[in-house]
Amino acid sequence: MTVPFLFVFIWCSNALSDDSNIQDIKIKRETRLLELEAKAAAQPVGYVVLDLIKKKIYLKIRGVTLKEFDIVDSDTIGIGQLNESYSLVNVKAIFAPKRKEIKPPAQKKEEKTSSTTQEADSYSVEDMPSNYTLILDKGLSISVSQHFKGNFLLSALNYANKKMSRLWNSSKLLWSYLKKTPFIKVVAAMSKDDARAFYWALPEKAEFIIIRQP
Amino acid sequence: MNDYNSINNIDNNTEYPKRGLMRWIVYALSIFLVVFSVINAMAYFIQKNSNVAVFKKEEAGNAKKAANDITKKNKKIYKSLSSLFPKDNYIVIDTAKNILYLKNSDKVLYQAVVSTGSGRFLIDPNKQERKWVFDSPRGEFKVKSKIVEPVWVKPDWAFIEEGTNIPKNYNDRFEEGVLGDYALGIGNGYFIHGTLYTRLLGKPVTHGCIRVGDNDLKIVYKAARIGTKVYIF
Repeated sequence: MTVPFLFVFIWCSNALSDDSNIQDIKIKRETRLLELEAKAAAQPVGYVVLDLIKKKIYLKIRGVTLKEFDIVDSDTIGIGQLNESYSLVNVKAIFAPKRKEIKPPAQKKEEKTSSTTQEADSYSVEDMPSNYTLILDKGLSISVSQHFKGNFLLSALNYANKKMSRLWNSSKLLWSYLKKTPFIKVVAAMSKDDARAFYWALPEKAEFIIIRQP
Repeated sequence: MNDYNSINNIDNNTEYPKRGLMRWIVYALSIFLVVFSVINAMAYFIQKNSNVAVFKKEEAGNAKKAANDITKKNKKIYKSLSSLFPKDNYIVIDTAKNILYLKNSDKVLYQAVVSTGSGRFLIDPNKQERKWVFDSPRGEFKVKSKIVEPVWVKPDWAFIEEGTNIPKNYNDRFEEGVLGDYALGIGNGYFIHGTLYTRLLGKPVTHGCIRVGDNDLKIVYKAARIGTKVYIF
């Protein structure tokens, strides 16, 4: 009678200690994220919190959420825990937007043109790309692609796009593993409007904090 | 018999190329699937093993750490983060949507359609190295001045853009009535001000300032004070 009782007792205590350990890990992670956010919020510039659990991107400044973007689908591949903050180094897009130049009329004395002549051709959010890659430091990159919405064909296109990017990133992971270089890739599919708006709102050299499942 | 052979030959000639092509497609697809599976499986094992290693290391470290210390630390960081949050009304400007929000805590008290920077650029034809990019500034700002019936002191670019000569007399730069009834200065020559071109509200057309409609501007002007935080993104 004593042996089964002892067994149950030991098993329960083990289970409880495991739970408290997991709880500890969770709290430690939360503290780490808070530390990172407090560091980023100390600067008067915007920073980005990429929450892969809630599938949201938050653009923040001084702890204030300025804008939320929805992620329709996401995938992470790579080695590491993403428990640091990452700085934006570069943004790569095939169709990068270009600014337009104001051409002043030939200099004339005392003849004024209307100040509304520049109203056309402004550089707006519609000019931004919906497919691009954010290159961050410490081997992290975030690929943002447009999630097609509509009929069956477009859903198939989403699926094919996801599988091809998985294959490409897996190959890159193997290559990085052999070369012993860091590699973490986050793939985020967003609606066209959100992808463009996120590109538009990205602060230069923004700090990125990533939240994902342990 | 001859007829049968000739018919059969014709059929074989047309079918064989199709069958050959199909075979190659099936081969290519099979190879692709095998490569796909192998690469994915290898990537999965590399990823899983490395993550498990980090997890175990972290677990061992955590066992030593007292839970109370972590909770205390958490509270301290929360406190320092919340101290950064504006206590009073603050202004948020979304340059993508050209909307201004007057907020307090998480509540939107008022919102208005505005015009922000056009993002275009201008080069001085006489000095090529002088260039202006007409973006609204981004980041955190404070209301530094509150002006009733502001007068615009035209900068050099305004004359260059119009194609007129830059005046030598400073007084020739003043232009009344173009900035509306009120202006909130946020530093570096940028203002939240009124406009004559109300039909352009909602479009990015300015030289960097934030143009607001007359009625909206009055409300924002009254709600803001010197030191009110302005966040532009």
